Amino acid sequence: MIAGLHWTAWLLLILSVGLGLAIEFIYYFTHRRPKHPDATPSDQKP
Amino acid sequence: MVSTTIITVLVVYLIILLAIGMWGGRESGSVAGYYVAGKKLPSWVIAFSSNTTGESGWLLLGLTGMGYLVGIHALWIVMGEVLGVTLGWVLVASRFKEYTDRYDCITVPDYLESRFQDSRHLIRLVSVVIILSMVTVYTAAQLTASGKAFSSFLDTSYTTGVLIGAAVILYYTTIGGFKAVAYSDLLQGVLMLLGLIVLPIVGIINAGGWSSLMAQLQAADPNLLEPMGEFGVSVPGVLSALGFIGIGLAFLGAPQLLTRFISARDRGEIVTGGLMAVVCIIIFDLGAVFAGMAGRAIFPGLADHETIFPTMSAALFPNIFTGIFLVIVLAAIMSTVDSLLILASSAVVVDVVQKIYNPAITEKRLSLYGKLTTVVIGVCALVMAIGEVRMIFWFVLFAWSGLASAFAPVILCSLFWKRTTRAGAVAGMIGGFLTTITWVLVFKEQFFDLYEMLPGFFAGFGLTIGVSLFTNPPDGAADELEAVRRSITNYED
Repeated sequence: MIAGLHWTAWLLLILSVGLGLAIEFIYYFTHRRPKHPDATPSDQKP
Repeated sequence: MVSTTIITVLVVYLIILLAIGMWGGRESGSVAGYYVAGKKLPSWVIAFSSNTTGESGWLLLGLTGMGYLVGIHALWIVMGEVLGVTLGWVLVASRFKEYTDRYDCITVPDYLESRFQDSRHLIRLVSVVIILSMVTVYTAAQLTASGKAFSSFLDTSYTTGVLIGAAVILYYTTIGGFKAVAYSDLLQGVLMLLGLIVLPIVGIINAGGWSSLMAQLQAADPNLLEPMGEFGVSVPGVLSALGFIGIGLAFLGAPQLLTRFISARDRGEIVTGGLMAVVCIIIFDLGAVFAGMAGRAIFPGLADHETIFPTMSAALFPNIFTGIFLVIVLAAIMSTVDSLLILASSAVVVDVVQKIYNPAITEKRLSLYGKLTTVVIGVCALVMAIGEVRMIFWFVLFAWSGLASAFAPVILCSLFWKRTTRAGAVAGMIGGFLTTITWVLVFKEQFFDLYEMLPGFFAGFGLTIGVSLFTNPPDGAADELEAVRRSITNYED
């Protein structure tokens, strides 16, 4: 028991937020800035 | 006795909503302006708007109630939602935005019809029927939440609460359009965030701290601290966990959420918006579950577990904050219902009247039809809500899965698989939708109460792929998909 909870409960808590957050952080830091000057129609809106 | 402080806070909030409605109404002269805010929304608005649309009275009353009822087992819901939101933004958003800009779409049926070159409008018509039916059910579920919230906070009757909620929502949605909806979602999202940070913290402190809370829950029912709940590691336990995770599948294709991607200013806003959306949903969901668990320790004998949020607000805070918590519940309800009503209104006005029957119809007449649709759905939902007091958690999830099972598999296949055909799309939408309904009515109880999203979603996928394999894709679809993929890759490299 850790702080009143079984380790499996802590594992569920960490996985419940950690999986999605890790994927999102990886995506964000690899895609956050457009590097190509010739963007697509959707990015050339006035 | 009703507190004047609570009423005052409520009235101030409603005046602010009215002002936002009027401000948004000035900018919504065109159809595109009314339904997607002219595609000019920045990242923080689309992020908050998509989360508050997805999270409604279900979050504040239903998920807190589920945290109260099953404790740690409710974290499977958190896992499903966080993964669903993440994958929705990472996998779907950019591609969907690129496609809808290429086609100049403002609705999801618009996109599907263009993608599959459906000149007979069959996909559009199927979409509209599904949207209208599920939006009515979903709205009825939110009005149920409104009834429970008002009766818990202000001691009104359930029916009075339903009527007040319906009147306010219909009024500001009708006048404001999507811009008012999106910016009021932002305000409401900030309120929800604050409420779901403060309430669990105060609740845990009142329970005597974290260790004391865990000890009380352990004493009340040891299963409250078990990941698999009362079921243990068994078939019902695994299916319950899978069903909870399955709630997140809707983020991959529910039309009321996809509309936010259409309305983004550009794809750069989507990358930023995704991070905000994921962090926000984590705070929302963890806050709701732990608030419910703290409530279980402090108020163990509650007759209706879905009233734990108002019960804790009234007991643990001074009146002015109780009023704010009532506002937060209403904010959650309204931020979902207004988006649903806009979705349904666009389905009738744009997808049926303008695109199928009368392209030359004036904007003024379109606007009138849109408002009439809003009122008709609102009245039908009102009758449904008043007729029976249902459990918010499962009532909302039924409508949630009806929309998601119909649209998400087809949306995913359309964005990633060049072989998806028009016939496959129609079969997938109808199949996913009917499977959801049939499962609830006939099979659910016999299969350990497995949440209907799972069979519906996989039936939708199976039919989309299966029928597509025996029919022909639209001309040029493969080249177009490749062009979209290259366009996104070029943008992001």
